[in-house]
Amino acid sequence: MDQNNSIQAFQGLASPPGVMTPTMPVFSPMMPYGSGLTPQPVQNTNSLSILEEQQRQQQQQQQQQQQTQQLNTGLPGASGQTPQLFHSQPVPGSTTTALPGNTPLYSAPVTPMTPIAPATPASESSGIVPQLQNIVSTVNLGCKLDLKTIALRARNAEYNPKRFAAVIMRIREPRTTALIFSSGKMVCTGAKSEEQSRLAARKYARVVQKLGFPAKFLDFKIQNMVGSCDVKFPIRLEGLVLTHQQFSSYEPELFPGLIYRMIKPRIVLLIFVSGKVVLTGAKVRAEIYEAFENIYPILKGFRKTT
Amino acid sequence: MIKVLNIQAPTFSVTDVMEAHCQEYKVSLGHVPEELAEDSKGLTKRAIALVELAADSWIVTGRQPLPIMMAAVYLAWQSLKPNAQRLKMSLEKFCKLAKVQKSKTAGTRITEMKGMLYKLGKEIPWYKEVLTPDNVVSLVGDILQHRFSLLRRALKSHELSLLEKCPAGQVNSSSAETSSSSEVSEHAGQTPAKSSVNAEKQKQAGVGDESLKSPSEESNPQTQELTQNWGKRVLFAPPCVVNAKRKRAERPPLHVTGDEEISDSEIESYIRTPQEARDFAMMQEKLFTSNNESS
Repeated sequence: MDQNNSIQAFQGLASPPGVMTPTMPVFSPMMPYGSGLTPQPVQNTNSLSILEEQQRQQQQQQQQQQQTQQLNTGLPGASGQTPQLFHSQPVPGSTTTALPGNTPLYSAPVTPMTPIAPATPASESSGIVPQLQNIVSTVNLGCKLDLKTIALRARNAEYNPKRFAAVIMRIREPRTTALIFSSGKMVCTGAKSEEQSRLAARKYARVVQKLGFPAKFLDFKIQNMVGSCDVKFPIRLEGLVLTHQQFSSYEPELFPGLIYRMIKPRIVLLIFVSGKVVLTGAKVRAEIYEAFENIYPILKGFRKTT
Repeated sequence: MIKVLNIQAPTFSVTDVMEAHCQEYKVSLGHVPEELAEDSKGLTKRAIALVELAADSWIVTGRQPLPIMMAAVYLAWQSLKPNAQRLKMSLEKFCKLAKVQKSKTAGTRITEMKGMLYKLGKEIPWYKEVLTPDNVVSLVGDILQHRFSLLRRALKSHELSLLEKCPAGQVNSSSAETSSSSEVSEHAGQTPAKSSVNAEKQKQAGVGDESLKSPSEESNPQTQELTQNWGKRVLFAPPCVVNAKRKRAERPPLHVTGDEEISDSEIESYIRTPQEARDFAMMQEKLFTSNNESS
């Protein structure tokens, strides 16, 4: 399965997460920094807004796209994709066609030969790997459940219908918590990896089965993944919010961290002054790695003054 | 929501709000005896300078602005006329005097600011007595006036003290230091009273100085184990890094495939025996009836 391939690619950690599906041609820079879809490392702190920069790069791309159109016969939608900012105008003449066999999450390389991003070499990886802290998944047990019976006969269950309309069940290994609803749907939280989440969900289903219900294991799906890491240098959040206004929200009166909503991949990052970063909102592990590789040069750019 | 309303939230800076905040403090001549009175303009100027210094040393980022402003005003008020009466007055009494409500964390901010001022005040060559974070308030005027050169000196002496501890691998930092000192010396001629533009430049120079510590640390292979708490080896670091709480014991990572066999005995351990279930049901009933009686 595609999913398994991309997961195995990270165990070696030698290659940045941009290189995953074998169907993509390798004549492009591995990290699509120049695509205009990912936030760029800021070269100068002089108020050139991100939108202007990306539109400028878009125009560059368009020119280069026309030149290299012949080379891209295999990938019609590869270059000149509309940047996925919520307030940008669609660029005439370029379409985002879905690439066959590719998930829409990973952008195809923009131009084959000339990289657009001026400074940062695309192959430089941060060397830091975000650790997964929490996985939330759902599964359908496929039958109606009597929560009172479950609460009565299971040791590890709590049920307080006045407070919440589900049974809260916990198991020791993998250490997780499940919310089991009377419709037969179940939410499993607290696992540290996708496989652990799946194993835990199966154990809960087994407990429900043993209690006498005809439980099945249908539509297991990972809904959210949370990762965290430490860049080990302090970050000027006030500066970051000034230069990346469209993506950041920093209100020290409300919350000490900066909330960075990355567009591609669609991940929310909580960035703290201590250098610790929390990434959440991912459906697959690769999104977390990609988001971190995207934010790391931006944070590094904030550490040194030019 | 910002999208819907098509507006842009203005970015907030503590220095903008400082002036309005300072005017809340009723310590001008009309309200308090002359010994304790302070002109609002002078107080604001000094408090703003203190906040800028605090921002450089990572005291401001990520924190609620009100306690910082309160701490800055308090220290500014104390330092503008550092006589025994003012120095002895605690924050609580000061807030009562000025008719403002004291904030609890302002005390912590005061300690942090005093620590930062102490680090700078140590570098003053003409102060001959023993300096502690407590008696640094009397020197605040001098510190603010010469803050750029004091900062440079503090960084240099910090680097020297680190060199004594681990002599290898510091070649990077010395060359980097000279480039940063040239940046800082551009500002050396300016007087402390600042517009926000200059404050930004100073902040950036400050970032360059202080953060240059960390790359030089990390390049040294010896200190790789010590990068656990890099905050302790830098002159100025965010307080949450310096006072890092102990991490809770991490469980060893579980390597599973997700499709393993689940043993029956493990699942049985999660299910009550029939006797247990009966006992539990009885207990629930008793609790329920006793609740009904009592309510």
